Amino acid sequence: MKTTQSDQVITNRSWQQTLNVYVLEAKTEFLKAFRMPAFTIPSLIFPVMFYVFFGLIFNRNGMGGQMPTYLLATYGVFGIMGPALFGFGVGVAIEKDQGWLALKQCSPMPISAYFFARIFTAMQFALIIVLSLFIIGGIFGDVKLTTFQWTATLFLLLIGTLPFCALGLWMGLALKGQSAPAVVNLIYLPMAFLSGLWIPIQLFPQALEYVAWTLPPFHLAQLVLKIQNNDLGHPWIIHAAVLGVMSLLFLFLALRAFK
Amino acid sequence: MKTIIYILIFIAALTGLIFMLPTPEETTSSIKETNIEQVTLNDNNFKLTNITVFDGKTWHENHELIVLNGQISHGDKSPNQLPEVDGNNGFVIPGLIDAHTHTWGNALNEALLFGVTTELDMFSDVSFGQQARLSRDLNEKTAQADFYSAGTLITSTGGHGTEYGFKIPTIDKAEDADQFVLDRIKEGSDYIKIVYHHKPDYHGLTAFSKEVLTAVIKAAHKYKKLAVVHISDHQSAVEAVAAGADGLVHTFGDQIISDALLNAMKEKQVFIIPTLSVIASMAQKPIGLDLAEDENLSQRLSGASKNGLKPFANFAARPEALTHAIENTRRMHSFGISILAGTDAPNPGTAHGISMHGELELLNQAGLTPTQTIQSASLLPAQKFSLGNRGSLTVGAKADFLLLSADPRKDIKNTRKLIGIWKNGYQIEATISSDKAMLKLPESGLISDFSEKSMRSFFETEFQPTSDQMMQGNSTAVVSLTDSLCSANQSDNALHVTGEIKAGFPYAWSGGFLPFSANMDQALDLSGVKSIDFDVAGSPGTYQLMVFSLNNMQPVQLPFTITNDCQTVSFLTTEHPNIAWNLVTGLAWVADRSRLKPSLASFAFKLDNVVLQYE
Repeated sequence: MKTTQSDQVITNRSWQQTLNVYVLEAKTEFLKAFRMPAFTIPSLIFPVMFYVFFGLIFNRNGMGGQMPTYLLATYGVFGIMGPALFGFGVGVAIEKDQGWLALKQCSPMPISAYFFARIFTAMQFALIIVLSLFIIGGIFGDVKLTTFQWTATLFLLLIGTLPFCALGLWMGLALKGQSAPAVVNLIYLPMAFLSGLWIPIQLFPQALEYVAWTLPPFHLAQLVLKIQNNDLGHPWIIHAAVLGVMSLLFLFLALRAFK
Repeated sequence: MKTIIYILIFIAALTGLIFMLPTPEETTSSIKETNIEQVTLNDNNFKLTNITVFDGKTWHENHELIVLNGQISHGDKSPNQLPEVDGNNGFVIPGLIDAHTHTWGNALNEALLFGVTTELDMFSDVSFGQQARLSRDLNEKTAQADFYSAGTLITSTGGHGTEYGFKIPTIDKAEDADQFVLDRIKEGSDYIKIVYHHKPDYHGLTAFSKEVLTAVIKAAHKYKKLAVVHISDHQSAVEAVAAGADGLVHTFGDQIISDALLNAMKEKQVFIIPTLSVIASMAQKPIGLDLAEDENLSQRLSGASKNGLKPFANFAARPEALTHAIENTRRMHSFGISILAGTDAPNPGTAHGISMHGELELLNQAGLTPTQTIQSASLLPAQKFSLGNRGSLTVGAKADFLLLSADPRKDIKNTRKLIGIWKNGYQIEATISSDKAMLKLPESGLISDFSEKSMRSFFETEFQPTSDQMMQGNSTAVVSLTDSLCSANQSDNALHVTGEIKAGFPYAWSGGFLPFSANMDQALDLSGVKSIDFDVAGSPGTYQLMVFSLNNMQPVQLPFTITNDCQTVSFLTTEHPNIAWNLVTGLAWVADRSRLKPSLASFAFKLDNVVLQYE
């Protein structure tokens, strides 16, 4: 009996300690990211700024008045992509080159805490961006959704950071620190545009729409748009499956690059 | 522990925020299901979108107007589910105010048909005025313009105003002025109109002295009423301004205005209602007849009013009287004196409503820009005569406005291109002169059942494809004949409509169309018909029945649902009073932009047994 009790104490303590490692790593990672204006400002300001320009000022009455609602979803996707792609793609590439990643691997900290902290940071940024869009859209864009739709949009976008974390991880491990920012930008912006995040996909020529099918943001955007019934009308399971397969593919590629 | 509290606070704040985000009043699913009632516009709460608006002071491109309870309202205060009316890139200006009329009979109805939403009467029967004034502060549905009146004009015994065959009180002594004016105010006069001439004797009429004029104006001001003066020559104008008149209700053509009078008018802020329309008529210029010929106006014109547009008979042609009057107006305007538009209808050569469009053209010729011209018929009279929330379209204003199909800034004659007139927020139904050709109703009620393998209708016209390609859109449509719609009657045929909705025109449509006459210039009176019924089946979704009416380029759309199964759709005419049922010129059955999604773009449906149900 005694031994079991002491065993429990030990496992308890180590569970708390492990959690503590995760929490500390997540906290410091967030602080580090937050204190980098080169990361924070574009990540937080751009989606909101674009949304105000294209959704509220120029196209307000587009799509029969649905434009602000539609773009709330797509700029939400655009917004959550940024921290995920840059946090992983650029952040991991640089830390890998600096030897920081190797150091972390050597430390007693489980390496999963390192990735978890980055995912958590990306999600926190995503939360700030999505809530800013919600408030602006709700107040200035006359966007009206049911509470369920608001909640579902928020959570779907938060979960939606994961495929982009995977994509970012692969890029971060595969790319050199110096080239990473350029390459990530080269992928990020065209991918956002071609996925119909800035201009509704319905307004694209047919050929471009086929291109969109190969891009993960398109599928996430369609899922989010489905919540407000502004999607193209394909079954959600297809988009979810494509996103899942793409995430696994990115993880597999990341694993290969890691080795 | 602290961390947990922070997390709980964070979750609570997040939940609170999400619950505070705006939600629609109805759930999205129920919005999708409501269909037919949505476009019914039987009240004065709606949103007019896709328009350029002149609010009385400034132009707003790509604007919209929100009307709540017959008043212009704030964009952000509007309930979510306001019906939308598409302004089709039209131009909205405030309802016109005619600042000089003589009003009786159905003048207020006729005025409104041409977009005059308020008339300032300058002398008419007191009892008519007492009745007509009652409705002007209500926001009810009406077919009449609002009415303000001077009541009985103030003139001398044997003066102008006494020659019309009914007895009116007159005044000849200055000491009677106070009581005389008070009597007029008790009768309901909104302002005091005075007839003055500097000669005691002219054209067989008398006039009272300068002293009486001054005393009457003084009395009007004592009782806080505007004093406006009828003059017909320069010298009388000089004396009226000197006597303290607030406004002159005519200009003059006997000579070019002197600098002294210009200065006096400017200094005392005297406005003028030149009434160039009636001066043109006296000068034998047939401006009114030109209006009657105008294709945009003629169809709203009744036979009686058309007759009234003939110029004064037995007058000598004096073209210089008109050129002088226009020149004087030009000089006053460029000197900064307020010009108000007024027609003096229904004097010979003028008619209620329609002549306002001629007056605007004349004022434009006198140097007012089109925007200033519109102000002379809206904002300015409202300000000078204190007409409350009229004459502008800012928040709180009466929803009296006109929708024009062309920009009046480019050509003031575009005020005649009226697509819609709203009074107290209710759209006015267009009516036409009785001699317009009307179509006969089918006795059986049957418009088309596509028997005899033909797309021909009862009216001998054929069903045709229609799509937004006529508006440079990309949607396509094809109509053909097909086998029976419902399996019950195999021998029958039905109309087969197929098409594709494609992005291009903002309000994409595609479907089948039946004009009742080749040029859609003949109308069918469906006002006695109980309902329009038809059978449909096809690609499931929401479609629109478009109802076209005479002189209205914009069909009213009535949504209906198509399913795979054959069903009868019935529209009760009484449920859609916003449609001019007495003037229907055609019907169309179309898919709309709800099918813009590529997966829904292609559609096909069958249409059969288009029938009018009588009681």
